[in-house]
Amino acid sequence: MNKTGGKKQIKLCIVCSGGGHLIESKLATMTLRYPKYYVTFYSPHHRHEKEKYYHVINPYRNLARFIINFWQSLIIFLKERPDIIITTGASVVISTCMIAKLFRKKVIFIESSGNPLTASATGRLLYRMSDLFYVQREQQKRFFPDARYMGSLL
Amino acid sequence: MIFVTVGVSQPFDRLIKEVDRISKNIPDNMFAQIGRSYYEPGNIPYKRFLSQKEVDDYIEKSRIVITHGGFGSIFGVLSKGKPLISVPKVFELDKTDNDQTDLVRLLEFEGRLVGVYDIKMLEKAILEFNLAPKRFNYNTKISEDIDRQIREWF
Repeated sequence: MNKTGGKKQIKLCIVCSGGGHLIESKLATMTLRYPKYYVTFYSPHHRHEKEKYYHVINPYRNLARFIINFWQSLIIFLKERPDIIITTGASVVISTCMIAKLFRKKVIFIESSGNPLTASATGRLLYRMSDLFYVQREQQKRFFPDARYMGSLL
Repeated sequence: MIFVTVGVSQPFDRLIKEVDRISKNIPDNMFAQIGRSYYEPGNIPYKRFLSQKEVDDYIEKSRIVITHGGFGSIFGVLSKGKPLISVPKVFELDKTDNDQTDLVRLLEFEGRLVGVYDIKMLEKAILEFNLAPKRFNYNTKISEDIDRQIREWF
C-alpha cells in the first residue's frame, strides 16, 4: 500500500464518455494533485498522453452492452481500488458508480454543461447515490435541490 | 480560413454536406474535420481525425470556426477567444442521443457565439458574421471545491 506520512494515499478514478465529457472532467479536476486514472471510451490519442487510461464500451440502451461494460468496469475497479470516483456522465459511468457505492467509496457527480437547461438521465439516476453533486447552471437546482453550484466550466 | 469540426464521436452529415455545398460561395478557404460522418466533401479539403495540436492550429489561423454543438468543440474555440458559429445536432434530424440545441441557444443568448438552427441559414450566417470575439472568462471553482471536500473527507 502506498503510504505518505502514515496516511493512505487517496486515489481518484475519473470516469466519463469521450469527447466533451472527458475535457469537462479534466477541467473539473485540474487542481487535484492525487494519483488518478481515467475510464472512458477508446481513442487513438490516449496512448500519446502520459495519463493512465482504461477503455470500456458504450452501454447506451442495450442490456448486453451494459453487462459487458459492467464487467469491464468491475475488473478495472478491483485492480485499481480507487477511493473517490469523479464523473461528468454519461451512461458509461453508471456501472463504475454503482460498484463504488457497493464498496462504500465516494462518488462525485458533475452534471455536464452540455445539458444546461434540463436534467440528464444519468444525473437523475445517480443524484441520490452521489456524495457530492454539482450543477453548472444555477437553474438546474430546480432538478437537483441539494446540488452545489460553483460556476460553469464553459 | 474557416475551420469546420463536428467532433469525433458521432457523424454530422447534415452540416458537412451543407458546408460542402456552399463552399463555392464563401470567399475563405475551408478545411473540415469530419470525424465519423459518412458524407465525404467533394469541394473542400478534409480529414477524418486530426490530432489535438492540429485542431488547435486550425482554430488559431481561422477567421471563423464552425462546430457542432458539443462541449468539447465549443470549449476549444471559445477558450482561444475565436469567433464561432455553432450548429446544434437535434434529435429528429441527426439520430443523436444528445440534442445540443439548449447549449447553443444559451451561449448565443450570452453573446458568445452565433447559433444556426436551420441549416439553410448557414451561408448567410458566415457571410454576415459580425460577432465581436469575447475574452474567455474562466470563473468556475469546481476543482478547488472538490479538493477542499476531499481534505474534509479524509
